[in-house]
Amino acid sequence: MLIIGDLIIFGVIFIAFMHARGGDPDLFNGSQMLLHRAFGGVNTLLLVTSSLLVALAVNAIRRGTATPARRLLFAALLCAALFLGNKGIEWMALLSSGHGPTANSYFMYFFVLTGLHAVHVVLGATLLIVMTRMARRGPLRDDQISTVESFGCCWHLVDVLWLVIFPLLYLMH
Amino acid sequence: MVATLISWSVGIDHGMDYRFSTVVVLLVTFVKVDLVGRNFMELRDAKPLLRLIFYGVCVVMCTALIAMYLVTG
Repeated sequence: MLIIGDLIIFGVIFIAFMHARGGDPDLFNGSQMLLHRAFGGVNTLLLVTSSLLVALAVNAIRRGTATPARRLLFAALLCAALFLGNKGIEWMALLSSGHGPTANSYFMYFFVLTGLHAVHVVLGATLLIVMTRMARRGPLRDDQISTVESFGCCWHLVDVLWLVIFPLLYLMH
Repeated sequence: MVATLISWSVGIDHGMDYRFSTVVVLLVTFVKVDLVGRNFMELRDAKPLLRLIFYGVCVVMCTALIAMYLVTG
């Protein structure tokens, strides 16, 4: 239900973004042109890849195979780190060119959405680290496996949210 | 990955009607959400109520975003 609640909260922000966009589509289209789609595209591929790795890791944990699970989770964490690094570079480029969150409504939404999402990436990565430590113990009890599966779903939520954020901010016109 | 590439190719300038391409991009987005939900979050094995809630939220969100886009331009 936490996942559903988070999805609903972001959904409200997505709809607010769309409403604001409707009020000044030229501003939003023009501001979007200032973004480099490659940043968003690379981040999408990183998160989708990380989701696949986490799904494979959860299966490995179910089978009780600690080493493959940890390797997969480390790879997913690497994707998360690359995502945050890429996002940081993009933010610095925008801020240094005067396109910060106070520049206009589009960039306000851009930084709010990507900022909130980045917080979720950090929280999700923390859960992945916990999963990595749990995987080290070898075969887990059923309740522990449920915990691992829940943490994995939290990471997939991070991916799902970005899958919606990317086209809204980078591709719509 | 393929769905992301489809979104990318439809989303960039290519001479297609921009409203049509944006609607396609948004629809592909929620196809990707469905793929992640079914395959990674294992919703296909989840309880029916949970699936209903998740997909209900997605359908409402997708419909609202596309409708608002088409109405407001």
